[in-house]
Amino acid sequence: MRLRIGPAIFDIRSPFGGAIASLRHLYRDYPQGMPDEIYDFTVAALPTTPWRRWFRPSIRLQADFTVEEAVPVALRHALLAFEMGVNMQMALGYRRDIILHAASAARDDRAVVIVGDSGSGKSTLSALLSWSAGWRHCGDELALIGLAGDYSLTPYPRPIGLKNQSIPVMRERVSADRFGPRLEGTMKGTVQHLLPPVDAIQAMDRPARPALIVSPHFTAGASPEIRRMTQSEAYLRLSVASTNQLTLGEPGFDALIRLIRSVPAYDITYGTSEEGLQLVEKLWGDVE
Amino acid sequence: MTPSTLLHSVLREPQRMERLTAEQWNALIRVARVEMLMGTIGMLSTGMHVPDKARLLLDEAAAIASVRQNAARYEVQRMVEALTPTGMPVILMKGSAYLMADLPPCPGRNIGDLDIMVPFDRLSEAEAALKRHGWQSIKAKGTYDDSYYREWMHELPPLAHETRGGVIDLHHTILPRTARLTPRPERMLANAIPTNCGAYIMAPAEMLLHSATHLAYDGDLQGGARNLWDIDRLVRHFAEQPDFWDDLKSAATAHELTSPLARALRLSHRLYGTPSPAALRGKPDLIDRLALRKLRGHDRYGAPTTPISNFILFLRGHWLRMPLPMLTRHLLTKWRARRAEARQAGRENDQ
Amino acid sequence: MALYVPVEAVRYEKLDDLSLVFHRLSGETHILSPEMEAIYEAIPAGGADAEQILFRLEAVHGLVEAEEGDPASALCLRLDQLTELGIVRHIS
Repeated sequence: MRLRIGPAIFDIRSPFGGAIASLRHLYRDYPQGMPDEIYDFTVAALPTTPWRRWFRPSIRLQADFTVEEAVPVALRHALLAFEMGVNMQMALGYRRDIILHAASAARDDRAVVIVGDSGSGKSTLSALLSWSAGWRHCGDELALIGLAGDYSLTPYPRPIGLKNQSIPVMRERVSADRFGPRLEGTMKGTVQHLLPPVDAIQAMDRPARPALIVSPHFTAGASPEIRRMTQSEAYLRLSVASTNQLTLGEPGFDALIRLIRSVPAYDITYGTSEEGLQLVEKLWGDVE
Repeated sequence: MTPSTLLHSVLREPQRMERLTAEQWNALIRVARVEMLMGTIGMLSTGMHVPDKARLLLDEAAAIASVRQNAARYEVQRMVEALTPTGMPVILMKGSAYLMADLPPCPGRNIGDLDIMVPFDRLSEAEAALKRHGWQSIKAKGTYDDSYYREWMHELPPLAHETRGGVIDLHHTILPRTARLTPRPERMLANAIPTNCGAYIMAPAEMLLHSATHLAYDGDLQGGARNLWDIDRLVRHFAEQPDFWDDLKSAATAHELTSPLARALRLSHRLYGTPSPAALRGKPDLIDRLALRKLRGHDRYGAPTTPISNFILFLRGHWLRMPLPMLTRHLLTKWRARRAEARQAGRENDQ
Repeated sequence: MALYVPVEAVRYEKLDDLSLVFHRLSGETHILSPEMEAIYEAIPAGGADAEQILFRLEAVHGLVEAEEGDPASALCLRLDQLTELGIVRHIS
């Protein structure tokens, strides 16, 4: 199958028909097909060994860009394997923009970029922004920042990968048909995908201009707090979060410098999701 | 035309890129990425009319190659700084030689590890100097791999720079000590040509011989399309010098490398139409046929379609470098290591 | 006399607190502390020896003191670190 997410078309294949069917269903709102187009990356989920197609089925990725130490994944977690494969293509092979390991959301075509390690709460925050606060979802894992003068953000709005306790938080707010299957016992615990609102997917070709950078720190029970980062702190955070900074050379350095000089960056700490939302809205009010 | 031969024909005749269908582009891009030639065809496509998406992907690959080439230049510079005080001659090999001498294989070529050669009796001195400047062995001492390298190989275990991560392969000759042929590194050192950067490159005939030997011996023709492309570019460039073919012939005899040279010339002739005197090329054999099958055997996703030829070539690649009892030991150790890894992965997976 | 010369192929950007040096060839970015920044800025484009650099530093920042030892050898240590980073060259 062919699938487009933001600027990239993926050619995805697997002898495991069920895995492809669940992928088609999860990505039902995204452009699919496109047989006559030049695509960007190929990703295949193949059995680790021929007999693993039938016996305790497990899959390995074959793709344009791979890392040597890739771990095989159980067939029941195929959706995660595809996700890993697709992200790997972007992280290793895409250099049209700076790639940040970050979530992002837009309002009136101006964007907040949410940087943070896995587990810091950026997926949950971006899910809440789009499903509870009317923001346009632009991605929960990779943010693409343009190299040209206005460092604009190209949406890459993949389904949001909710983990563990953030799943019930969103189940309360969003109807069940927007959720993918529940994947138990993965490396990150329980994972369930949440489809962004249809509008956000339909608007994925509309860029947004970053106006705010936040780094969330969700700690149960913590009291809400905002701290402005210095420019060099922001530079460090963003360059560490970038997967392709080294292959971009000077244009990448330039764009990152322009971004942190023009866009304020904050650490935000909060103890509940609502507080997190409020902090973002408060900072947004300041930059508007 | 298979996806692989499409790539070979585009390299021979870049103008073909102006007439490809989307389906052909998709296959070409996959094979070019697998063969590490995407940056090369990216550079060859400069100024051509190709579909927008193809342009984007070609330029992307060419730009990555150019950034890596800069980093490779820098690593050469730092290596020269580290080794200059020793006063020993240092020969750049393969990619970094093409880069620092600006030779025709260079545009768009991906340059990875830095391969250098120093005189055998100064090997440990070179290693020590590099270690003083931040390079460290990346295979832990005493493991199977380390002793294997030190005992039998033509190079030391790779050295990686502690902060930059750049890797140097430090050689004292061009073939493992276990190989049946024994080229003469001292002749290569004596004929070496200085470059502006302070290191040397091999004389044309020997540079070509090294490339040919590398193709014939190093492993199983993995990345063969790229190595043969290097050979094609070098031959066409060096052949403009009047005595090149005579020099090449006598160098091949002196280093006992006539047969790997002949095979490389035959294969690059078949793939890219590389010109060469028929007498130097010799007669095609069974290995040529297997090699060509492998070189032409990619599907439209870049995956190999000829597993049996590939396996025979893999065995042969090892057989050429090692006597049989050693080969068995080597493959067994590798197999055990891989099986242990697979078991480990399987366990994690089943949890 | 040994000269320290700033490498040309770099981009030097001052941020609100620290400054960055982007090395065009290697693609690496180095972060300079305020102290390193002052030393780096005191090296003239045409190069200078440690004594001249110390003189220039004192002209801008007043008397230079080292935590231990004399300022000149502390400065040489820093200059060697800049050399090791590849953003300054050392010519004997």
